Amino acid sequence: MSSGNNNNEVAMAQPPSRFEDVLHVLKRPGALAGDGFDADSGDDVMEMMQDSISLLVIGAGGLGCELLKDLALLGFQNMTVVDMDTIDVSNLNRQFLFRPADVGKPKAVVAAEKVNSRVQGCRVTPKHARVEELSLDFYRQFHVWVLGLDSVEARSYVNSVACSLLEYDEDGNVDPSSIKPMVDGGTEGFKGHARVIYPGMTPCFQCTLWLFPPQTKYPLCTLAETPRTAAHCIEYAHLIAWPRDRPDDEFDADNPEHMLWMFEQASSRAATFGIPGVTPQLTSGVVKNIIPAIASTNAIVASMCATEVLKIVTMCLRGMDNYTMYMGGYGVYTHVASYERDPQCIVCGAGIAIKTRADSTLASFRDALTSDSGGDGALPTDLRGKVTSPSISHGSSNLYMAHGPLEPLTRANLSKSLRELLFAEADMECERRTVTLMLNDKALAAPVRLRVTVE
Amino acid sequence: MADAGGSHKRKYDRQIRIWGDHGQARLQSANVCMLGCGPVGSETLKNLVLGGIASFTVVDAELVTARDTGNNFLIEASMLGTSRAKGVSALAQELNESVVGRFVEEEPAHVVQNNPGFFRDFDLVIATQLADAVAAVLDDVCRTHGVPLILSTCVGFAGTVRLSLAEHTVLEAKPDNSVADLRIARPWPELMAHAAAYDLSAMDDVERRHVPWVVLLLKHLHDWRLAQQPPAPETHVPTTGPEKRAFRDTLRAWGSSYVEVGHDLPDNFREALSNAYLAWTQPEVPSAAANVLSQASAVAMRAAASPVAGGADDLDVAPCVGFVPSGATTYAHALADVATTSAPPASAAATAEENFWQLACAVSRFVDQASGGGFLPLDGSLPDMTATTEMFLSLQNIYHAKAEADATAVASIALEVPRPRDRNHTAPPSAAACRHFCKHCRHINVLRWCRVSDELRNGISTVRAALANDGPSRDAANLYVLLRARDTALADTQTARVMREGTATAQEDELRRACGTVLRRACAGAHSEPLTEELISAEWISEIARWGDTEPHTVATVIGGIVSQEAIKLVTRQFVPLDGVLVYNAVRGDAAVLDVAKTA
Repeated sequence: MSSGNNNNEVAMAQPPSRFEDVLHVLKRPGALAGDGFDADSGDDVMEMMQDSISLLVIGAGGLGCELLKDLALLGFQNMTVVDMDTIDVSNLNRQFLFRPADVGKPKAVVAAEKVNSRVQGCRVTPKHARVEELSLDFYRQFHVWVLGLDSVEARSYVNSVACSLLEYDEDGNVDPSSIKPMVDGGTEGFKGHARVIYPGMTPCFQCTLWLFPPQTKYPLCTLAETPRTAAHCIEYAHLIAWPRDRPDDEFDADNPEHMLWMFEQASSRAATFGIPGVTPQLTSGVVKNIIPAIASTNAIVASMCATEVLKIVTMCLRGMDNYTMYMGGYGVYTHVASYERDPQCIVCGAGIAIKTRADSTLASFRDALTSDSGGDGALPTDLRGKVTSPSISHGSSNLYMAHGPLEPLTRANLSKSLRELLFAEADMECERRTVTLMLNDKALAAPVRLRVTVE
Repeated sequence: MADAGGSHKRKYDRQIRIWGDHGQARLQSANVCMLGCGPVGSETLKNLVLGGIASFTVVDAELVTARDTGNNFLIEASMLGTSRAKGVSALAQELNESVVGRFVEEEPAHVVQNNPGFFRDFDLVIATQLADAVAAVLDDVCRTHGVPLILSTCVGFAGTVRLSLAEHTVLEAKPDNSVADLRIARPWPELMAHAAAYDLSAMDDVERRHVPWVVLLLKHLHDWRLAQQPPAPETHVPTTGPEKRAFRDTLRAWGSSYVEVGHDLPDNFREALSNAYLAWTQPEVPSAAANVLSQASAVAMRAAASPVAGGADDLDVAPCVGFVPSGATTYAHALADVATTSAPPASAAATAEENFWQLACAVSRFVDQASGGGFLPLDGSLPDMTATTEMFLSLQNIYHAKAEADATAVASIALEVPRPRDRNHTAPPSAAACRHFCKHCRHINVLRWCRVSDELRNGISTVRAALANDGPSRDAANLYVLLRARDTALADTQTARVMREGTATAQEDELRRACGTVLRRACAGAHSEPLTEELISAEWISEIARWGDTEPHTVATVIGGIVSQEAIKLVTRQFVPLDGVLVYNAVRGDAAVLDVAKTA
């Protein structure tokens, strides 16, 4: 953010900006502005929003369409949108960038085209891809990540990527420049949430995983032996009858013939047991795990999120701290909660501090970790001796992958020294340095951060 | 559009799962008037058009400016200098080919003042950014025609939403977490007999592990009553802490007696323990439903006596002046006659809603009579629980049969309730309609809003407590007073000039003075301590002055989103609408509802 060279006369002489609603607030000091807000730099801040800030929007569905529109109309011009899906008829009641003629096309591509053509100067780049397919270097290029996702799995993945970028110093203090702020939204029916995450500073998804309700899962014995509800009959058809009767067909919930078969199987099972309520609508709802969704809730939640992006980038107002729940079914009820970090969080935490020598090899470093002492007592007691075949990575580079096709490609690193592997030429002379390595092993629920001080 | 039904069903699938086909049919027959199509109006329109309303009519006199292209997605650069109403209508219409769009190039305030008859044929009027005085007139007009109104404002990073209509009844409130009505504390004879027929000691282990927890609780409560000294009557339940603890302990011991030492309790017993509180939860009538039932008889009688169904509003019906367009071009985009889709099918749900007060009256009599025994008709639903198919279905049948019997009793009582005069030539509500009403009657609700003019008079004195207390509504109360003060300042030409062109300090001073004005006005004539501008936070004064006339897109979108949720609730008659004034605070990122819009 460049410092103020404010010239009011020049500013007044300019024609009213398209983004006057935002610019007006950026150019005026406020009692509730965030830390470091400088009204004298208002024009520069707007220029920065338009020219140098780049945003990552993950998901081009109900929230994603709204987010792209919202961010574009706040004045952000550089955005990349990621989505792996194609457009379905059932998206059209809320994903307002899509028309019937777009059905079947990639969501990211159509959404980007529509926003770019409606909002002049806006440059949204589409990525028709899964979040797992994108590299760390891809993620790293964006200033703020905005999440419009519909699954806990995808959120956890993106969260783990953001946290893997965190750099901690020897004392466990996070390096602010390694933080990628995330803003996340979610909706179901008339309800939703918006939240702001500064990984390493405020709670990450993993810290507050309990916020997501457990998914409905039926025991197989209930489905097979004691079905009681229509949903049990449908899940029987889905999980038991299909693999039994059509072992060679891969089930596709978007194939009408497959869904019809599912409905008929479920209906006949329901008839056998005298269970009412199996309908085509319920069948698709259960099989596809459909979350009901409407335009208005997506609009509310996405714009709460986009407002927070504006605050993160410009500091024009204090930020939401740090989670808002919205419930619109019975009157309107909202609640802001300041959740706290889990100091033990294995995803965003400072991780495990280890000291080692720069000339020790990766193999000896790794052997120390797998020993019963767990790297000379560095690993917590419950992991000592449990971590047996770990993979180790540094940022986006795999130092050693214990399994799969990368094993032979990384095996040679085992005999190299840590100095050689971790220090750039320029750093060779440093006496001491702390680097963050990620340790993964089948004994771990998620990769563990190692804060390695190399001497 | 050969397959309109099928493609509609697929297009609207994700929302039909929320409000059903009957809710969707109501939405598809709604004709909505939108006053003002800045970002709040346009966003509201977008959400409602996507949902599939029948038609919209935009009223707006502005020409598109550069600012519109930066804060309104239903505007594009090529529209600069042309009619904003026309541009927004075109892009809103394009969102959904099933919706009819119209526009009127007139100042909303002008239409309100001069053509009150214009509003008569809409199912809903939504106003954005109206001055308070105009809103009060519009409210009177809408009440005259019986058209619901939603008012909304967006000022910088704050905004308000408020509904205004005489009365709204809700049958399908669809609460988020409703505890099933299982009558465990007060079982009826068939349910008692059903539970008594289970003999756990005669069962094998597999069978025993599948006895539904409802049966376990019923049996255990029965045994508990017998074990009291002297044995307790059939209505007695554990009430004290020690009694409840003992009930749980003996229940756990009963379950443990069937497993080896050290083994876990069977699933069904664990479910019974976690639901043990239902053994002492009396099937009470929730307060919202009790409120409806307490007035049902009077309202039904009044409806039978007067031509207006439902809660009558004591309003002088002003002669309605037909709206004469002031120029030939103003209706250029009026494509078709009002409703394009037919009215909702005469389904059970629709009939039950149309006969709300009559059926509520019947339910109220049912509760008072022997057939109800003080309880509401049973809804008949049974949550899934560990059980064999046969055990679960036979228990479900017991609940279902009782619900049927209750609905039949209500239907026969309903025949004795006088019919509304405007419907006494139609058939009485069907059995299916009575069943639908009974299924939802535990959560019925009625809401009534005071007139906007009354709120303008009394609202500020109502929020005085919230202004002084350090509670969650304090920010909302501050914003409420400030937005009223801002409206007052903008209503006067001289102060409006200061508000728009003065220095920051002058704007803040003007706003502070206006706060003083509205606060003093609020306590004029009252014997309480006078309110002064000292009560209003300096931080909020500075921010409201700072924000000026801005309508940042994302704040407008939150307001527009809330307005469209409320519109859907009013139109579908499902869920419970907002009964106060919602104040959105985008600084904190939350909204609070101030209790200033209810009838006295």
